[in-house]
Amino acid sequence: MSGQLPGGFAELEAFVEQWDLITERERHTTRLTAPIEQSNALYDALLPQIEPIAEYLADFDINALPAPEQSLLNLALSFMEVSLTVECLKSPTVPGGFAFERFEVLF
Amino acid sequence: MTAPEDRLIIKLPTEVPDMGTDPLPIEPYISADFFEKERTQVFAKAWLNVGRVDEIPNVGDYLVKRIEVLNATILVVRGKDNEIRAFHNICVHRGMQVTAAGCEKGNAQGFMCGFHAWVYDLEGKLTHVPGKEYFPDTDFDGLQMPPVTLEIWKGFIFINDQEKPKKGLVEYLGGLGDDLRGYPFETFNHIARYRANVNVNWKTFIDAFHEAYHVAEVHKNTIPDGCNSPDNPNAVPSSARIYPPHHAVSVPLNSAYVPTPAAALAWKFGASFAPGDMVDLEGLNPSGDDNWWFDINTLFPNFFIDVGPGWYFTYHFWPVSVDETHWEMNIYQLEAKTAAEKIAQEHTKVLLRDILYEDLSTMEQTHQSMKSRKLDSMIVGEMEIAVRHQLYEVMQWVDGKGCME
Repeated sequence: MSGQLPGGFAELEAFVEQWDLITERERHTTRLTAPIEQSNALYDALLPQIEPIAEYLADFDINALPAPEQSLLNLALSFMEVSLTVECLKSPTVPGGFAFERFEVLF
Repeated sequence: MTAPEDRLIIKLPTEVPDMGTDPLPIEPYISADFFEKERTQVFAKAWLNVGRVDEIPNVGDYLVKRIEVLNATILVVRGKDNEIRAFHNICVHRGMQVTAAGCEKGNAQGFMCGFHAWVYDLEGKLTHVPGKEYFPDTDFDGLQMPPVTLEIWKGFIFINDQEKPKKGLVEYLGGLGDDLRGYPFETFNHIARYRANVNVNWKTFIDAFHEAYHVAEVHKNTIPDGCNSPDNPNAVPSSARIYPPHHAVSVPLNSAYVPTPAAALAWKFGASFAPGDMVDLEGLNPSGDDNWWFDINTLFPNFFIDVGPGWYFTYHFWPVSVDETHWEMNIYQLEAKTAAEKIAQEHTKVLLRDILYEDLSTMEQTHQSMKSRKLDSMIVGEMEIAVRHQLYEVMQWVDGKGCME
């Protein structure tokens, strides 16, 4: 798949299929169930891009983003979702934490 | 080892009741008999939060709240006159609920019982009975769903099981309400909700959330050094305010905290839960502490409003039985106007949520241990003053000496 992100961010296209998710619940479920290598790859690719993404999206109304821009924002939100896994936990789930199957994320 | 005289001082600007220094008895946390007393002496008398006005902004919007400890299902409705009222979700005919099973919120012009189609308006009054002529001996005038006492403070909707509570809501909240009065709750957006059902007593659950002594160990994987600093390795609270039956604890900040790359981005873009620049909002840090992070506000008996610089969150701890508690967390942040602010908010959400997985991990093992009755009491230190005060108040109320008698 190509052409789903705004032009300047074409190198992130590879992450769209897995991480272009609109709700926190979807992003969280993906992080919990994906192998950590996939979270690491997203994190590494997005970290240097977060500031350019924020700068690029500053010209748009965030409540009415066109589809490519919304996808870009969703990737940035997925970056934050995996940030704990990559930076702190070194694990998709919280080590020693409450069972995620019993923890309900409503939004 | 630190000599006792070198210990950090917790500021206690309010009068502290004489709560003693003995270990706390375990029995109130595991006794079914005690739980029945809490039901009638605490939950049936206290003001209980059931939501915020922003959840039902339009005429006809309603919430359905199942409150197991009161054996009640409450309907909170915004009427045609824009007033918010509460009723027991009970059809006066034969007691069926007037909303569908599992319904938590919605919008309606009125309510129709799904049993025999009796109809109620948004003010709870019975307006239509099919086959009314077959009830010749019934006076239908003035029949309505049983009303529930309701008051609103700063947009928070509270109900009370008493028809005429001893104290109104503002008087009940007292000094804690005064401290929080200036905080701009109404300007925040609701950004997250989490829930879990945990096999633990409600008080044991609560007690993990109003001290910071546990942070270094329980939160060692998420934010071990948020409040633990070289100067304050045990995260001794900088201040605690006792406003019986409520209390507040201010959590210290580790000023040497080094943010992760994601936390640093969040602070560059907006605000994060991770320590960072302080945003000056009225109602924060009432004791004027140095190295202040956030305030934990415990509204007796089961509601928390933790306020910080650019975010606040709430916890509800709803007892289901002596051994089970339904927990809910809601997170609120100032409206994100830009993508950058939205990305920053996501960091707060994710960090708090993962912290909560850690907090919830201790509950069931602790409760199981308590139930073994191998310990009669638990040891509580000065840093855990809120734990002591919570049980002190519950015991007072159960003994008929609470502030709502």
